[in-house]
Amino acid sequence: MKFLPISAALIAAAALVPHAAQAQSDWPSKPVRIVVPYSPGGSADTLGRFIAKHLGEAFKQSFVVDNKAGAGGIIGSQLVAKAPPDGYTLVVSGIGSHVIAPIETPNSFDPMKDFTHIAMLGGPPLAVIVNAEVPVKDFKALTPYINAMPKGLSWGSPGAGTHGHLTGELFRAAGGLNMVHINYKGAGPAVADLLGNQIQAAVMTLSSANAHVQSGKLRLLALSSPKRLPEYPTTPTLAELGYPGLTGTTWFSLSGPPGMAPALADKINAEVRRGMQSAAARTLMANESMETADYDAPAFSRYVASEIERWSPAVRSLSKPAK
Amino acid sequence: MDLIANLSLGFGVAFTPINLMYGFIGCMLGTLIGVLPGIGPLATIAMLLPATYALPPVSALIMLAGIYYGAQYGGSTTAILVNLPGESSSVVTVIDGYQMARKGRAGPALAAAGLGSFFAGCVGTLVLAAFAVPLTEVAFKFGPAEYFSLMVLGLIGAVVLASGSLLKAVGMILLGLLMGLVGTDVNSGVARYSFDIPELTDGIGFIVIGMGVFGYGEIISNLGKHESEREVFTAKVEGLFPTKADFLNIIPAVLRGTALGSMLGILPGGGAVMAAFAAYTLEKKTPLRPGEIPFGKGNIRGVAAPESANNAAAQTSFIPLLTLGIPPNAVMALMVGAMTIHNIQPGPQVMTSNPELFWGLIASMWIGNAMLIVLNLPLIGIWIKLLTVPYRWLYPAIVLFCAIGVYSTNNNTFDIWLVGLFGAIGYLFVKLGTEPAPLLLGFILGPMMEENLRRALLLSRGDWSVFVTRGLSASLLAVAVFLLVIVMLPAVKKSREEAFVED
Amino acid sequence: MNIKSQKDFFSGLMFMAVGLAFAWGATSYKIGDAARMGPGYFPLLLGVLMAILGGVITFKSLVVETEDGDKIGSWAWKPVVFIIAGNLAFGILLGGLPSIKLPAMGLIAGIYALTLIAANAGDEFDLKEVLVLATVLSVICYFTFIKLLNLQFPVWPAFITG
Repeated sequence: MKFLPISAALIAAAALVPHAAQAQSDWPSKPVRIVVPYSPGGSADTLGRFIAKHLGEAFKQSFVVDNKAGAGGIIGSQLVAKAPPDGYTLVVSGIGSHVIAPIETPNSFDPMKDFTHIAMLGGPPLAVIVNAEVPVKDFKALTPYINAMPKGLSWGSPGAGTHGHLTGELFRAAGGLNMVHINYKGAGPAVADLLGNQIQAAVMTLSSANAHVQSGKLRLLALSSPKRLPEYPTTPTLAELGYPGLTGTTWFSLSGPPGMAPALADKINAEVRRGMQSAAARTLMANESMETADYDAPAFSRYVASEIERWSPAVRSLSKPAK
Repeated sequence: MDLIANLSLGFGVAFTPINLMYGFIGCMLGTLIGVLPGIGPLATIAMLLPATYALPPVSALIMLAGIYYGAQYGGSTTAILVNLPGESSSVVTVIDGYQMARKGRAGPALAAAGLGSFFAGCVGTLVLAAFAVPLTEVAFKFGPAEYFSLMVLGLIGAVVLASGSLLKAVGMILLGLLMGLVGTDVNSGVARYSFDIPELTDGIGFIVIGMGVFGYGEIISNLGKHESEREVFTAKVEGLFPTKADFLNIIPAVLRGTALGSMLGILPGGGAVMAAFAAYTLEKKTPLRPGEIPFGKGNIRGVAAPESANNAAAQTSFIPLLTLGIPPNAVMALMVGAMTIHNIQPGPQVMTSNPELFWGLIASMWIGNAMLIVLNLPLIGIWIKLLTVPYRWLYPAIVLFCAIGVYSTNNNTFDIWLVGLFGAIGYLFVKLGTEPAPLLLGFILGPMMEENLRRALLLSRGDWSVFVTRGLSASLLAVAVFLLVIVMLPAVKKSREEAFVED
Repeated sequence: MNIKSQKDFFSGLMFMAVGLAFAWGATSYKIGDAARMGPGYFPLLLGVLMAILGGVITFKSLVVETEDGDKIGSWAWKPVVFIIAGNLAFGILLGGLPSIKLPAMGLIAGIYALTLIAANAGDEFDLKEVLVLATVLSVICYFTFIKLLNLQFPVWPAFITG
């Protein structure tokens, strides 16, 4: 590598003119970071990338997904809670990271005070699945099967603090069953072990398991949606099976640090809603068995608060016994 | 499934001028990123992914694959030339590659890395194409106990990575394991050893340790020596290409590395990482031909084998991705994301529902490898010129690029301090005669080992015997013990000899 | 105490110290038992192992003969100080130091500082040469990292960009 003569170097240096001061009001004027607090490949990641693509096209800026997994979504979310509320750092929040996990992890954050909730993205229902080789043909046979196992059932979920984990634990508590939860870092590794029969059952989002249910390697026992799904007409819902309290959607959403300007939140909210109502979104939702809902920013914030109220007693009831 | 028909379909898709161009751009970009230490393929792919949304899916994936391989090749280049391991797989290349560079043999080292990788890439692609589905079944036999035992085996093998004292190498491995545990424990959410520093709750970054210990440590130690002792790159560079003798040595090394790498890459999560280390270990245990330089001092096999292994593993690590939809590492995960955005569900049906995509991607992997060889071999001449730059200009540049590379991962100045700290620590290691490569392997494997240990014990309800009662796990541990014995035997014999001589 | 291998002696001490430190730290986390490993279990295990190993290494260093005493040799203080100082200066200038209210001075300032300081670590120092080097590096970095790769770095001091 030859070094330039001094004069050329100085001329080049002079050409590096400092940029003008950036105005805040023309957001976004530089790339935006969307933190997905889970490993890549899961539902949060899929939704995050989808909305990043849409927002990127709409605002003609780079919206980059940054995966920061751990502790059920707490780690990534904490990062964003501390970021400046200028709209350049957002997080894919959701029922796991912002309703369930904060209650289970004391001293993590206050999901309402430490975030500005911007818009709903959507999500799939939960699926109760077993490895196809397990001799349980339907949900009703599950409880006797577990009771017959001397060492109890090893079951998996996308991790502590997720909706899947909570639902499985509530099921266990309701029946006083011997079920040992095996922690995984996200749905991917859990599916892998389920397929390999290292664990026999799992509760996770339908999206994560769909491909394998379709191929016959996994058997779908129940869904947490309020009504049966058209693509699985023979699969009962948990409500039908006598567990109405377990009905719910694993929803994901977009949030930001506390103190974001309402106008900015509304701007992002409007575009996210447009994105989630688009044809591309409908295709994605259909493929991933997800559904979405339409809220403006303040209404969505109220929804989050209502979900926290709904699930808090259930989560607390589980953490009472000493671990 | 007609392999030839499928491959020709794939090549038909990938060989179009447009796709070739995208592949080329990807390779160029990837090489550039790989060469710049610290700026890994992950950050760049993340940045470029939105740009690929506009492209048709096959082209997008081809470009991303190009970036991925380019970065790997580029990473080996920096490892050999300036002792900087840009990613975990380059750590092993550094050991002999850099020593070769110091002896004026950077050209052959780079060529060996490139050619070995290319061969391994071809073989890996074939394995992927032909055996994807049956190999997935093999991967299923690996539960947490097996992974743990495999990692124990890998770590014992890592002891071999060090040329010096065995005990100290084990100590470094343990140190690496412990350092890997710094940060938030994924299972319980408890922040371990973070001293309330928020940046540490995410753990120490691999790049930070790599840059600090290898990069800064080497520079400080180099500057500390007297001008006369300094073995800085001799101006007389011997030749750009490996000699005939070199080729004779490389070929078996490449074959072994490719075989090992292909097998390890299949295991989702953890296999590919160990490929380079395992290959080096295996190679080191094969007897030296007469006239060969010992390992650790610049043996070309010590470059060819790990490079082949890790490229083969990179190829076969697509298997869990394509058949299960489980990405083997973060970069692949981005590709999953790209596929999903284009409404392609990675999983067993991808082969049947989108055959042009599947086979086109496989063909593009081969093309990417070929392009990189074509690109990189001439570049070797340029890199060599770079080494003739006087050291007093080179080392501040290295210090700078390390700092920038590390900063670019998180935009956090704290990481820059950490590199400085590890630089000092790295120098301490040099002075104490403890080698950093085993530490890095321990660091990478630490959290995974803990995770698998925990999970295995949870599944067995606290029964430690699970590691020996499960067949596969027991055999892996048996090999580990065997390896340990082999490794320790020369040392035991030597000290016994010494004791005899004393008497 | 007849130290047969200086390097081994001090490495052994280092391992013992670090092992004990990690093990002690591990006790402040829940240890749990094998079936339910707490966050402290694995670190405690490893820390203890390392401390024991360190002890063995130190012992060996006092007992096993070596050719030349395996001396550690002199420490290269000048390079250590200047390289680390250059690294620190870069970090401080690039991002600023809130505790002393120093605003971010940007990449270019950092490059100059790092080059000027780190160049002192070697045997020779020619101010003109170093300034040219710094300028060339600034140009290369600007075009590669900022323009080509679009990395988000503060390039110029904060009071210019606002």
